[in-house]
Amino acid sequence: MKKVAIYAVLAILIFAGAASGHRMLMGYSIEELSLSVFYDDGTPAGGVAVKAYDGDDLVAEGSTDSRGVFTFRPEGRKVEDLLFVTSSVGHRAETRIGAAGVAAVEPEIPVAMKVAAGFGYLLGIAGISMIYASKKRR
Amino acid sequence: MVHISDGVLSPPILAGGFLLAGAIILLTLRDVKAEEVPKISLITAAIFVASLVHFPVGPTSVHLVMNGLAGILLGKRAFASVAVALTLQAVLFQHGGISVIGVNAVNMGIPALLAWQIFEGRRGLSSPKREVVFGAVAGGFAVLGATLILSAELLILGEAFREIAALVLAAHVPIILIETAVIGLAAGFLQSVKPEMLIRARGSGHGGA
Repeated sequence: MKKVAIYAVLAILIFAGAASGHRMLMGYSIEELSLSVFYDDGTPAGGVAVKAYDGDDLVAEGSTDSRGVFTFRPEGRKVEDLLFVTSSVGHRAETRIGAAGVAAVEPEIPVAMKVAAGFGYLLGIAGISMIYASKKRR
Repeated sequence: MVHISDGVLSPPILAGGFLLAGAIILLTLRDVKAEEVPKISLITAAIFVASLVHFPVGPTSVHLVMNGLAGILLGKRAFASVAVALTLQAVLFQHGGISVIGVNAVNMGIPALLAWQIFEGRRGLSSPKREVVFGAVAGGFAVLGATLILSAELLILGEAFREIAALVLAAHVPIILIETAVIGLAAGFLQSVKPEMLIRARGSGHGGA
């Protein structure tokens, strides 16, 4: 009798097909969020104020620890809706936890390349003025 | 950290910064000769990369400014040099930001002009070490001036910034000491090997007042 029942269940499952019935879904909730604040040379920014805004409402504020980490408990809020703003002594940064995560940080051009680019501009200005000066002398 | 970032100051202050910086550039570059530009470019390049030298100070991070160096080498052309270096830093390194270039140029450029004026004072001293002494004082005061102007701007923003302004000053003490030493030594070195690199004293033409 038991066997018949198992076969029956299996048969129902086989003929049920994939489309109908109970689609499986996944959700997530974030209990705790750690934001790290750092300067562009990689130095962690400790003791810096961080504020979280939902639209215009300030929902949380605090400051980073010595490792530059600010821990935030959303307590039911969707972190994707929040804008995190950090500022200290003339420095300011903003971030949103988007669908793509904080990986929205652009891939950086190496500093050496940027330095070379800067030198290039200045060399160009120097070069043009040298050509101009030598033309004028002739 | 002498750089103010985007989004800290209000638009009228930003616009004022651009206007003032533009006016000073026009005034100090009015009679520039093409022959001076290569030297200005070279020193601009040095200031441009100086900001990559970082030091962690307490909770924050500070970097070299070297506006005093521009002052003692370029005289009144120093302002434009600092402004161009800051523009390149903002565009390439994201130091500060595009909207604050004007304000930052004023913050660091005016002390560069101050450094030039201090360095001019060396005429009054007959010691063989006068370039070292006045170079050092000029270098130190250039950074001190920049932090004072920055602090003043932060104070305008509100009471809450009062202690932060004190923090800016405190954080820059190491930079002031380093630049005092470096620019003093550089001035002494240049005086002995290539004195024509230093800005000539008033009234002697080329590059001076």
